[in-house]
Amino acid sequence: MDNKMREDNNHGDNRVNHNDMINKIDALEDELKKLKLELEEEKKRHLRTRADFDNYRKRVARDADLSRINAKKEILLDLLTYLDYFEQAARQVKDPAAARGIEIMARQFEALLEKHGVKPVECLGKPFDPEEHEGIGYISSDDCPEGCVAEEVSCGYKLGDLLLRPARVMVAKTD
Amino acid sequence: MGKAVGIDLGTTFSAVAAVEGGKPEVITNAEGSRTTPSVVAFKDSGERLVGQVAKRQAALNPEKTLFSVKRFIGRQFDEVEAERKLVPYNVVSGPNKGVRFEVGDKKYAPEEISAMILKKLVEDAAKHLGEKVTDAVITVPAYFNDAQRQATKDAGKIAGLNVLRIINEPTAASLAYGLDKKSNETILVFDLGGGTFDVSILEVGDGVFEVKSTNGDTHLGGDNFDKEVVDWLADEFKKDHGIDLRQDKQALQRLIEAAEKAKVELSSTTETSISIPFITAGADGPKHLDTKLTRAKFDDLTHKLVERCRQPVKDALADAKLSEKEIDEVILVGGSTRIPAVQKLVRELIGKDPNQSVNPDEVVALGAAIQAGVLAGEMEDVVLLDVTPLSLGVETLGGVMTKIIERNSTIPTRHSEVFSTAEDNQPAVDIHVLQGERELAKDNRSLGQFKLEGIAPAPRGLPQVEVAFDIDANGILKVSAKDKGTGKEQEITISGSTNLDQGEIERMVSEAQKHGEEDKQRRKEIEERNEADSLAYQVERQMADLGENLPVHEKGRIEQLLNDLKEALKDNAPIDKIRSLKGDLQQAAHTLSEAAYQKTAGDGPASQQAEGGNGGGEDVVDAEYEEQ
Repeated sequence: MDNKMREDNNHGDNRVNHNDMINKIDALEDELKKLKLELEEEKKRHLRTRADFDNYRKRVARDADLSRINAKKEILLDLLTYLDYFEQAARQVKDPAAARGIEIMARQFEALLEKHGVKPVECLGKPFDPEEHEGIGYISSDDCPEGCVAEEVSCGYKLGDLLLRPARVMVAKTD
Repeated sequence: MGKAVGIDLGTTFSAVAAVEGGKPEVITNAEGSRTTPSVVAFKDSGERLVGQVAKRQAALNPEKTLFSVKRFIGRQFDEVEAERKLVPYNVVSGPNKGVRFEVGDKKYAPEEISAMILKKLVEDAAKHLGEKVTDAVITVPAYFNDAQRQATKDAGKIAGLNVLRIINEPTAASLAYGLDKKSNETILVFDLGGGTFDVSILEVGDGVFEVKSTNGDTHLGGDNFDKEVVDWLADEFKKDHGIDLRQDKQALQRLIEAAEKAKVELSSTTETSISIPFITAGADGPKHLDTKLTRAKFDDLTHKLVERCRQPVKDALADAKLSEKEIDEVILVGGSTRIPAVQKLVRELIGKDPNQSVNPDEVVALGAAIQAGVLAGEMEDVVLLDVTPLSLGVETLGGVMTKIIERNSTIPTRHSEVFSTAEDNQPAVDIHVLQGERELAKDNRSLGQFKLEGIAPAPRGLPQVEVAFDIDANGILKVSAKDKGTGKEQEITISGSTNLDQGEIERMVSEAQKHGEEDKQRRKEIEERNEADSLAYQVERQMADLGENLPVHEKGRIEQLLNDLKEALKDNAPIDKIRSLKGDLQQAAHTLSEAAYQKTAGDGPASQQAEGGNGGGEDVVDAEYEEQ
């Protein structure tokens, strides 16, 4: 009803009205285009946030594992210092009975660590490998091929596949 | 596009960080460390080693192990004479008087070596993030000239990265502290790393940083501090035992480790013991190192080193034509700034407490990650996200504050919880909306109050009223209460629940911490009273149902106990008294339960809890949480 009356009233301005309509449609189309673009943009952003969150969640789970291993690693590294002391003592103490006692303690300690997954890095006679060995220097050796570990200065240890600390080694060199 | 990261390409160590979920985080490398040694080595076979692995074989392969490459990047051969003498590898002149490293029959430009480090960092980061890393922001010292910056950028390109920007290390550190949002501030960045010392003075305005001056010492860092301690330990040992531990490679190694550990410990304690049993063997048997190092002695040993930081700071101020009073912020960067004597020097020179809340080893990488996040458009979403500065909740039985939305929840968010009535046939519940961290309603801020009426007559604890808190992105809080039985609903809209001023928020949070213990005590007491009230109610109902089945003397005893407890609750008797009366009643009620079993075999007492009287309610039925 309302519309009809207005149309009647505007009868004389039909042309103007028509242009108005076209302008309005243009404006609306522009608006629609803009909104569509915006929607697209927002959709992308939303997806990105979702993906970010998903990755984050996975990473948090992985980090939790990692921090558990790292916590273990920290304690084990501290304990290994004591194993060093034992070994050092066994080597230096001259009294055979005392040296033997210390050696037994060292062995038991090593067994205890092994129970928790700690294994010594094997190095003597093997080719030097910086993935597991830290080179301190060279020594001449008759019975060890060049480039192989001739002397273990301190033992390295692994926790499963994870290197706790490298073996410190001297590498053979023929002069 | 893949992920954008921030890289702190350091002289001795490098670190990489990325923004995820709006926060920058340092990424651990394949070996599980947060930093990677900036070392590249070449095996005889031509195989290339980068990082920790390269460092491990450095002593065996000094001519083919390249470190401190940053000291050479973008420089002319004739500029680096002094540096050249300090490294065991071969530095030669290349095309256009550039620097080349001669490794076997190959020559490498510093850019190539830096690229190998960058590549390792980025590959490890991609593995960790589970996403390809394509873009990076790389940091350089503020004093780097155009050639050095361009060379660093080229290193990034060689590593296959799209270098979004090269930014200054002190700028990155400032970004990590959010100082880009300050207007017209002057910042002094004090960076004492593993091997270099840099002072930079910056001015920030409208998010743009301008370097006013730089100064420093290219050969001063944490390693020097370790060395002082090692020398002291070795000298003392020689005095006592006549043996120089520095001659014994293994002993020296253990000394260095012990010295570094002692240095770290002395940042948090004033005395530490250094013990290395069986460090060596003399003619007369094993020798032990067992001594104490106090912080005072450590400061004494390293006094000269700390003093070497003084003049560069003064010179930087003079060059910037500033007095120390004109410095608004001080930022500490580099692990060695954890040394108390270093911090003391900074305070003395500037007269200000330095910013040090961000890990000084990681602050540059974190800032670079923020810049990368901004440039890659990853920070946009984040800036919009706000948090509720304080917890929001309702008052429940006994004047307790029950939190519905915890403080620091990211908004928009919605949480709801179901409450019930505290009295039989209670016709209405009051919803009193509170904000704050205290346990009791009266100590918190009241945001508003409304009533949900027309609850159908029912025993206490039966009606289910769902109270929902909904905060929209603009921080406008809508609280609604709905009677699930009748569907009746009421709501209130509160604006401005998030725009408290910072001081007010801090005051409320710190007060809650201060009163934490006593508040908890009081809340526990109220909850115990509520439980006692609930028990009395249950027993009363059971008595009405089953009292007849009991022997007369039992019935009389329970009625007596019940009355005592109710009286005590009404008189607000001390909690001890209520506790003991409650215990007695509970005991007696067992008889009642037995009677119930005998009668109905299985129709046990309903487990119910007391509910909000004039306050609203407490979760009786399912406390249910909804998330959007």
